[in-house]
Amino acid sequence: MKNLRLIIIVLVLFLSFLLVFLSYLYKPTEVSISSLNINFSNYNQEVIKTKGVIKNLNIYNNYSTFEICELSSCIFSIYFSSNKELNNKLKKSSISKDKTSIVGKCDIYNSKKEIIVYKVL
Amino acid sequence: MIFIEILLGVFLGFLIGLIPNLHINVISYIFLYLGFFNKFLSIYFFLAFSISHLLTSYLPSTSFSIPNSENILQVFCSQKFFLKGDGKFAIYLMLLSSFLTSFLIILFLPFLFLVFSIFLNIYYIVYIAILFVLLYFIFSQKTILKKLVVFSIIIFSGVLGIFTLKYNYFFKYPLFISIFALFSIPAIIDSILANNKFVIQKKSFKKINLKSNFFIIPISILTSFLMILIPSFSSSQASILFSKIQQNLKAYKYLLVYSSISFSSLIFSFFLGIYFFKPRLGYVAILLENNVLSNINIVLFSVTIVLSTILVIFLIYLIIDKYFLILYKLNYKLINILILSLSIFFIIYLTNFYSLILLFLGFLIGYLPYIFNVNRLYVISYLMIPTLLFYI
Repeated sequence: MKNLRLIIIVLVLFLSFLLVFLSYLYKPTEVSISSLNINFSNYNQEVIKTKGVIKNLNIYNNYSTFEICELSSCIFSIYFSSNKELNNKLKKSSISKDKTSIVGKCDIYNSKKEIIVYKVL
Repeated sequence: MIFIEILLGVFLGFLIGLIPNLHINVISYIFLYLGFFNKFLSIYFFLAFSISHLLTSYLPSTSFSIPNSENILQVFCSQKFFLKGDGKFAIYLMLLSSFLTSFLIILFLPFLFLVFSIFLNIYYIVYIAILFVLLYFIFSQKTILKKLVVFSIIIFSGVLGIFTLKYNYFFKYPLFISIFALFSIPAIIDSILANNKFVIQKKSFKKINLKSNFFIIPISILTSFLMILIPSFSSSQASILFSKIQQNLKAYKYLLVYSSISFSSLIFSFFLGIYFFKPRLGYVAILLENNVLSNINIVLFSVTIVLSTILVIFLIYLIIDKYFLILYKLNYKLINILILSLSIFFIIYLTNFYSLILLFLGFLIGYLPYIFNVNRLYVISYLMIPTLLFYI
């Protein structure tokens, strides 16, 4: 029983670290907003990296929403558990109209395309 | 037309509810895949289906003891009855409790609307409640070793929750795979190792005094009412809260409480999904995403709850003796192995091979409470930690 406990704990630790490590090292596919908008179904549920101008930023109590755009092609994005630092970063990008890179998961919610943002680079 | 939909929902829920370990969230993915959400079926079908599925699933969950995050405490209790030959008594108790709840819960709905409207935007209550429960999980342990074990289970489950629900890079449908791996696989493996056998079920059973137990039902509904206000809390936390308030409850009273709480959670989740877009169950969330929870008539909603409950209880009454008779002729161990293999095959078929890693890691974490002899509910931190991070 003692050995079984030890084996299971070691395995849990090893696999948990592996999951965290692989998630940290994950290199997402880079896609432009316009091609993402056209072929969204191909990327649905996939984590991607994209670049664009932040528009229509809305900051709520614990999440922020915005549109990431390339010319007139935009995709709705949502960042859960946003914080002050990140909100300031988004505000700055939205005012300066500089291109910002984001990493996030493509999703369809209520028949609407969206990116659930994991990181703002 | 609505009456036909209710009948259809009850009948389909009854048939699918008899299949062991087919969680309602998985069924909603199948509905999605089959295009059930397209126009011709309304909310009344899906409500009747879920009620019927919940009540019918008491049969396989009592006999096979395969829990999920919603029924974990109830299943272990009802299986004890089953192993003593009192499975039929346990199921009738749960049905009786659900029947009484189906009437009484309608009275609670206006209060839920009022209370939820007040608490909707008070976020700090959510994270204080989650933090309090997590700390309670740890500090309610008597020895330092147990405290450490529970703390580790919370951390392991929480990390898995964060990297599958919040930052998920690899997995498809991680929620239903993880819930299966954390709750169901360890229970099935434990059942196989324990070498349990089917027991002949008694046809007659003890009488209980309904009058003196009646007040348990509204108190259970109220407990569920309080829990539904907090995201990530399930009927299991509500049951724990109830058992802490009402200590030394007799086993049959537990069943009355748990089934009333499970039933209430389902109805409250529908109600919050319809009026506040805040479903608490995966199944209701998928209905909401597919625009099923609209055009609701509250009178029809209430009628559907009562009618579906009565109809499915009647169907269960018709088959319960035959069900137990058939089970007795089967090889319990073999059935459990079959359920486990088919479920894993089904998950890999629906998702991808990465799921195997998630299944294995989830199983190992879910098995920790078994080998350290602590409550299996602590694994629910899988949902609580990511929710806590969302609200902090």
